[in-house]
Amino acid sequence: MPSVGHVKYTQRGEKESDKEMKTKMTALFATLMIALMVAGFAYAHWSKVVTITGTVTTGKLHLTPSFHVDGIEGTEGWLPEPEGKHVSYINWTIEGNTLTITINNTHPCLTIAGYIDIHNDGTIPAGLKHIEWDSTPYLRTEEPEPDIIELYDDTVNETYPIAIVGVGGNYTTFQIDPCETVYLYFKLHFEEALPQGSTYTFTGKFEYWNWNEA
Amino acid sequence: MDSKKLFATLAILIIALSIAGFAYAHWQKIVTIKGEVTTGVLDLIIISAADDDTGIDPDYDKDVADTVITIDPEDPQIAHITITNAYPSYHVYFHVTIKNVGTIPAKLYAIEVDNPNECIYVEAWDGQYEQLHPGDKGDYSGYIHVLQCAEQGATYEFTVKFVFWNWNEVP
Repeated sequence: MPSVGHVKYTQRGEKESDKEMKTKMTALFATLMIALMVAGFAYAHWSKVVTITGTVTTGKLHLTPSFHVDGIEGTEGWLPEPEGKHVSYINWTIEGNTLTITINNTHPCLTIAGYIDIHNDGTIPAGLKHIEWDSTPYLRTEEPEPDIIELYDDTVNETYPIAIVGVGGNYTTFQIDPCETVYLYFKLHFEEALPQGSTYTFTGKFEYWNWNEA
Repeated sequence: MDSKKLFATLAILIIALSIAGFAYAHWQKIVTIKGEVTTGVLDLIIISAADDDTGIDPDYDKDVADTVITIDPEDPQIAHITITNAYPSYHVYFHVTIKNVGTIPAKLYAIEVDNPNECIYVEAWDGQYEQLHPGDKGDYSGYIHVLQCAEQGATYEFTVKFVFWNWNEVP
């Protein structure tokens, strides 16, 4: 049986415990109320969302060159010569957007005429932005008049050109709409100053952009 | 019978009756208030949608890309924009007319643009600037611009949300 003192001590402890419990309950209640207020504020509104979904599909800018020379069927052959002789030979290949032309055994007074076609097989109109020519370092070009290009090899002769190229066509004036084609017509004539046993290389880059940016 | 017992019984009876009599003696009338609350409806739909690419591409002289905006036939809260054959610098404005078909005034709370594509610029804005009362309609617009870094033959998707709240909750 507990002593009287023990009973009093136990009762005082229970009262303190009750007081502490009340304090905790009050704090818990206050916290709950605040949480509910916050939640109530957050969920109080009604909302309706009007949605717009968007899908953007871009087109394709794609150009394919083709080449043909007067008097030649296919992609290679003997260049037309007087008396039907077979002297100079030409062939070309197309890989992607690159046209590579090789002419062998050329000689003075040889004339080559042909077309470079550029076909738009993409879905976006193309506009010519820039033409860049690069050639053998000592090959100098002059343009005595529009659409005439003279090629000089200064190591051989500074006065007379080794070849003259006449160019024409609609490639500079027209955008190329999808499914349409522009052409560059050229006439290459090798002059008397053309040296023997020489090799010349040149590269022309026709840079096209989507028409609205060109 | 003992006269004391009779007297006591009578007294108890009188007291009991008087208590009972007091309890039943009042008159009463109850006035009742019945409450019924019917909440309103916040509802908005798109009633028209348009874009400014009606043929020739905006600000250009060719018809290359095409923009079509349609209201979802099953859910008029949704419109779909489809742009095909787009290219760098192609841009187009779109417009939607939103009508409040509910019973509560609505106010635009936010415009949320979800566009994870860095090569497509999308923005939208409030052309109304006012609450939409029931039956009212307002114009809201957006702008789409294909940037230089856009890839060829690619598909980009985005979402624009016009978030409306009951008018009194919008700050």
